[in-house]
Amino acid sequence: MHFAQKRHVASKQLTQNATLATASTHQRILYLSALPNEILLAILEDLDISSLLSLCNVGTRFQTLAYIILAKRLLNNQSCVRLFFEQESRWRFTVDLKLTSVNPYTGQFVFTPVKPTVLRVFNSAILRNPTLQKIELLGPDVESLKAQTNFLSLPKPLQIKTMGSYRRCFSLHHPSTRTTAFSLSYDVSPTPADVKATRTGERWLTPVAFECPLVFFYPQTNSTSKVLQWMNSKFARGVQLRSYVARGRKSSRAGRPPGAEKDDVQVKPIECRETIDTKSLD
Amino acid sequence: MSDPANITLVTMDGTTFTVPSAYLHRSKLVQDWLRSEGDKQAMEVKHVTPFVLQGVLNFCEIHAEDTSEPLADPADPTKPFEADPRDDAFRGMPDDQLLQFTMAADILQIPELVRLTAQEMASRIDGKSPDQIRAMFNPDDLAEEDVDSDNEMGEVGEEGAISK
Repeated sequence: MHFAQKRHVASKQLTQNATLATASTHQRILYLSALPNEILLAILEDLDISSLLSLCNVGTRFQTLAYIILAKRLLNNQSCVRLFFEQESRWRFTVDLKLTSVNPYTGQFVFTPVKPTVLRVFNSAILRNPTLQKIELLGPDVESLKAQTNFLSLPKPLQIKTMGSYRRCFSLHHPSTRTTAFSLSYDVSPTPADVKATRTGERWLTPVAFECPLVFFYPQTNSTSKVLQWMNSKFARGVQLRSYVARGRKSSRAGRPPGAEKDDVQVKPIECRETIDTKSLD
Repeated sequence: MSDPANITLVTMDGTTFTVPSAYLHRSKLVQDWLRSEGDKQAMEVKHVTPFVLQGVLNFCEIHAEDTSEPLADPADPTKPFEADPRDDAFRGMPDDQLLQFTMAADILQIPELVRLTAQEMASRIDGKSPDQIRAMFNPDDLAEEDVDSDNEMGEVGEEGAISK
C-alpha cells in the first residue's frame, strides 16, 4: 500500500520535472547516433526483420549493426526465403531455403533448401522454360513486410535443355536507383530410370543454392517506382511502362552480367491474366 | 566511511542526491565505487544531468525490492522483455529524453534500465520508413554517412555483377 502511494508520487514528480527539464536541457539535443554501438545493438535486438531491413537504408553505421542482427536472426529463426517456380502457369513449385553461410569473399548470403526438393519440369519445343517467379521472405516476424513481399520484379527464365549443374547470375533492376545481383544454382538431371516420366522431355530440377547480398532485401524504392508498381497491380498492363523504363536505362548499364541479357523486357501480359484466371477458378 | 546506508551522488552541475544505497544495488558502477572508494563523501556522476539522475533514481526506487535475477547483458535475447506498468513514466517521454536516460543507464551500468529504454526506443523505430528513422538521427552525422553508403552500394552492385 505504502509502496504504491510512493510510486504514484514518484511518477508524478517525474512528469513535472519533465516539463521543467525540456526547457532547460534543450540546448543539447541527443540523437540516436549519439548512442554507443552496444546500446544500439540492444535496441536492434528488439526490432523485427522488416524494421531492420528499412534501417539498412538509413546509413552505413546502422547498416553494419543491422547486418549483425539480421544474420543472427536469419540463422537462428525459422525465417526462410521462399522461391516460387512456375512453368506455363500450370506447374507450380515452392522451395524454402534457409540461410546456411555467408560467402566470405563476396559477402553474399548463401541460402540452401531446408529439405531436398525436386521440381519436375519439361523441356519441349512448345513449352516455355520454367521461370523463377517470386522470391519471398518468410518468418515469424516478417508479416509486416507490407507491399514488398515479392523481391523479384519480373520472372526469370531458367535453362533446362542440357543436363548438368547451372549457376545463373541475375541482376535485378528495381525501377529505382539500385541494381542488385543474385544467383541461383541448380542441377538438371533426367528422370531416374525407376520413375515413370509424366511427359516426354521431363527434367528433374534440383535447386542447390540461392545467393544474394543482403542489399537484395531492402531495395530502395523511390516514388516513381511506387507509382509504377501501383499501376501494374491496378491495371495488369505495366509492360509498356516497364520496358520503357528498361530501355531508358539500357545505356547506363554496360557492366551487366551476360546471363541477364533480356530479362527485364520479357513479360507476357497475357500470362498475368492467366494466372489470375486460374487462381479464381481454383 | 560517511554513512553505509546512504549514498550521495553529485551530478554535472553539482546538484547532490542522497539515496539509500540499496536502491542502487543493480548499478555496477555504483557497486564498484562502493567497493573501492566507498570511504569518500560523494560519488560524482559527471555526465548526467540532475533531471535524468532523478528519473534514474525513481526507477531504482521503484525496482529496489525486485527480486528478479540481475541481467548480465541488456541485449540478452533469451530473456523476453516484459513490460512493467510501473515504468509507464518512460513511455510518453520525448525521444531526446529517452536517449538521455539510455545514456545515463549505460554510464551507471544498470542493465535493467538499458533494457527498458532500448525496448522503448525499438518500439518507436518499429514500422517506420527509412526517411522517418533518418529524422531520429542527427542530420549532420548522416550527411557524411550518406556519401559513404552510396559509394559502398555502388561497389556491391558492381561486384555482384562481375563475380559471375
